[in-house]
Amino acid sequence: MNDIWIIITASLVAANAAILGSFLIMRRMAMVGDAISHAVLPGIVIAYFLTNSRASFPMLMGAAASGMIVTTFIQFFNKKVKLQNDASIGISYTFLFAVGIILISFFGSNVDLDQECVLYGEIAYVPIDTLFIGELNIGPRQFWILLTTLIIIVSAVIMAYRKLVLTTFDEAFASAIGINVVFWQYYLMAGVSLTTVVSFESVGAVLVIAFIAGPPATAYLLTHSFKRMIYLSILIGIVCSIIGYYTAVWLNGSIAGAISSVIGLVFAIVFAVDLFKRRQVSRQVTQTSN
Amino acid sequence: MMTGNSVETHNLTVIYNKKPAIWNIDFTLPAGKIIGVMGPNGSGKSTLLKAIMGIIEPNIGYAKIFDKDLDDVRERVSYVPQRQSVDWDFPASVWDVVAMGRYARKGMLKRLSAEDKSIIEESLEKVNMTAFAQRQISQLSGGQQQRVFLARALAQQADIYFMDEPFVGVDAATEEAIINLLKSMRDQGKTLIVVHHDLHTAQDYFEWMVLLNTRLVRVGPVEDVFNQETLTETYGGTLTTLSKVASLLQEKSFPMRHK
Amino acid sequence: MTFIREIISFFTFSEPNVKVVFLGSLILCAISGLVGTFTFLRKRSLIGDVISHAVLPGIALAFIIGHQKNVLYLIIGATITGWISTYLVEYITRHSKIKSDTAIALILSVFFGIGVLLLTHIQHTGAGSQSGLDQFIFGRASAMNQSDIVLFGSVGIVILVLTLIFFRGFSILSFDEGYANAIGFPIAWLKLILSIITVITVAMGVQAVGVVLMSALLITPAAAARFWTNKIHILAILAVLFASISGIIGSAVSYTYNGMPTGPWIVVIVSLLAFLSAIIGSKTGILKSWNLRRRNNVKILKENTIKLFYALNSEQPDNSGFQFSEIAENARMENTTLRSGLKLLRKEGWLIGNDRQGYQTTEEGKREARAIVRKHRLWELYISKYMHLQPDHVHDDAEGIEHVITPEIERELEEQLDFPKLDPHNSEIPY
Repeated sequence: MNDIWIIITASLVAANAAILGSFLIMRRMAMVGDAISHAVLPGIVIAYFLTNSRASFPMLMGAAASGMIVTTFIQFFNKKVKLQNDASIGISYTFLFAVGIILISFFGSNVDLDQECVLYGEIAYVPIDTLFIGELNIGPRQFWILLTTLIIIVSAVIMAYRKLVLTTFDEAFASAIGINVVFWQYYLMAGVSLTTVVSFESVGAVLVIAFIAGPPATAYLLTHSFKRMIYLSILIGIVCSIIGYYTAVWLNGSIAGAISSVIGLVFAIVFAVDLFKRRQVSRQVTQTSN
Repeated sequence: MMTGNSVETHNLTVIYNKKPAIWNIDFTLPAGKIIGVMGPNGSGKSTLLKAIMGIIEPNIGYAKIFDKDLDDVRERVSYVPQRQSVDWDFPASVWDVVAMGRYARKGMLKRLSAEDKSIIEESLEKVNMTAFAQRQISQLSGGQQQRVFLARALAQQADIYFMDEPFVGVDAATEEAIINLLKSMRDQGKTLIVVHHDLHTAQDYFEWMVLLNTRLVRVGPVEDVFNQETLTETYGGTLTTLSKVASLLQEKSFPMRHK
Repeated sequence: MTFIREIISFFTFSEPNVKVVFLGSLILCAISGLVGTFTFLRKRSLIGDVISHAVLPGIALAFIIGHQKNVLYLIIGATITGWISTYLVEYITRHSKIKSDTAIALILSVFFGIGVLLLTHIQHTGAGSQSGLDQFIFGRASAMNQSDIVLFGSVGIVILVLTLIFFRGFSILSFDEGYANAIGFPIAWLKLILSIITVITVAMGVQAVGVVLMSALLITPAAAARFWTNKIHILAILAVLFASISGIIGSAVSYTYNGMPTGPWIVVIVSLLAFLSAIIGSKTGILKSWNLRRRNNVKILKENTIKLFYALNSEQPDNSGFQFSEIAENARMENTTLRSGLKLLRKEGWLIGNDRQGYQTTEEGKREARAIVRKHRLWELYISKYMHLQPDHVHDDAEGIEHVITPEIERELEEQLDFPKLDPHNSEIPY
């Protein structure tokens, strides 16, 4: 039963990340996801320390606060003192992440968080931490949190689907017809923050990026319809979670690490096939034209 | 026939990266005409369009469309951006892109109605792209991409259309088809404001013209403003003193206007 | 108190190991600051991020193959996987429609994932449980030993020499690749050498900062230095200095506080240096722009106030003193603002007098008043001539621009307009 819970948890993370990742990679903002996932750390740690629990709401508040701070820093460097964009982002999120790690080391013994967990999560422990209604065990806490998040993300994306697609494809046109481009950008970023925060415990900061970038990039090579790209990347994410889990068991290693290795492998296969097919086609074209 | 003013700008000024993109643009354009915006590369043509439509915030000045604030007439404004401004590898079909023209009038969740669909089909037909409706946009030629953008604008059923270089990189047949389409739109009373850079065709295509080189050189009916003298002035280099002043303004973060 | 004693013991090298830690962090951080200058200038901070995450699987593999923690093997392994990662990012973006940010995020996280998988595998299988490999994630300077330092030192010197030899080439490459190519620089070679140096630097640097925060050690010192200078060699020197300071303090903290990783401290300190530089830095810092704004406002106020006297003087040329109320009548500013304007002018020597006796312009004041009016009217004429603006549209523009016109621009205007006598409103232009 534990296997199933772990796989389901990973699949939920994969689904959340796939939906948002599809938008992010088409907006060339995959690395913004990376920055957010690192920058939320100090907020999470402080919330964790203050409430001494893994309650999701305080953590979300903490993460939101860190998110606001990192945005302020980026704005400060980029707009106020005119530092180039990539460096502004780079400085700001590494700083916050470093502060987060230092806080963890300080609180060390008081808090049941460690440095490694922050990076690659503790998905193996997910089944142990269960919720009860009265006497009834209704399954892992993480499962319920991630399921709720998935429902929120799915309904938010369905409600705003057209605006999100339009602002992703053609920002100038969207803004000419009166769509508030900046608002929808923040809307999406809010979703990304939510997803990274709730995925933190299970897969950690770096590996959530594997879920955000990997399956959507793979699906992008396979289809020409954006909707199908989303469905396909959810599917790829789930398949990778299953294979990844058993790989981890086989190698006796980190589950999250194994899943992202599998994500990389699946991408590599699809990429190679795609490249091969395109080479075939172009060869045929040159042959016929000769 | 549309009468009255389509666009009115007051002191419109935009500065980018220490260079003036447009400086103190002041004009009034008539409605129901095909109006060309011409000038050398980097003369601020696209910037002017974007500033009028509120896509970029001007440093100074404002624009009105049909004598109203932009936000009150959004539904009547359409835009055909430069073809290269989007990523044509985006996973979408021709139909998907044209349907975007209907989004502005739709609520968040409403499905496209039968009427919307027939408008989309009509728009595709007008640009001769009906056969390509289900084609992936990554597989289109330059001319076809341009037609898709036009169809999307048509689907909006707006009254004024801003077009940024619609003739760039298209084949002769497409160019001819596009200009005929623009003329028939004009005959229905639409206003078309078109950024263009080919001097040879300008006189045939446009009734009015805005000659731009950072500052406004001339504006008026083509027969009045399109001549050797004005063209020399438009294409005869930038105003270096103006550039120096603008770069000083930014370097020293001087306010352009103060209380 | 123990903490302070420990700090003192660190900086007095009372224990032999302290010298090693101190030297090690110094070398690694200094080299990272130096090489990072080019990463920063070439706007490659994301690539730096990829390399630093991608060295992890190399380190783990080197351990698996070598069966022990040999720093040389680890550096070689790290260099190989770090190198492969940058190659893959480029390959993917060149041979598919996938954009570079996606390729970067993908390669970064997948390589890191593989690294984590291998690392946990090593730790769980017993053989490596004491390997101390986890220190590579956040860095632990205190784990360095004497032979490591010898290695870092020698590789560091090679990198330093190479950077000095190719300094000019790297600089041109960073500022303008196209230009470097056009003037016949061997771009491909320079890029290759620079990227090899960068990968090796990262492979070594992770011993001090760890893979997760290594990119900050490349970027942040150079970014901090950028606030002080525009000259590339000074930039490089300052970056090395900032990185070294953070390296020393970071390793001191990590040494004294048991269990504290080095990387986060180094990054926090170098980030604070960057913040400080952003605020007080002399080139583009906040203080400078505040200063600039204040000076602008003073200049505008002075010029607007003296301009009032131009009008007053031309109406009543032989007036022996204008009353405050007379001056304020035509002034489009608050009375308090006007008062401080008058005070400024008096201090400047452009005005004499006070509220009781009235105010009078000195010779210098008269000259300044003419100068600002001249600039105003020249500009009005310029824009009405070249921009075909109606005379009633040019005043507002000139109100702002008159203050920014330098003597050089003024001369240009005069020449272009052929030393005009009258402005568009037919008022005289005073010389």
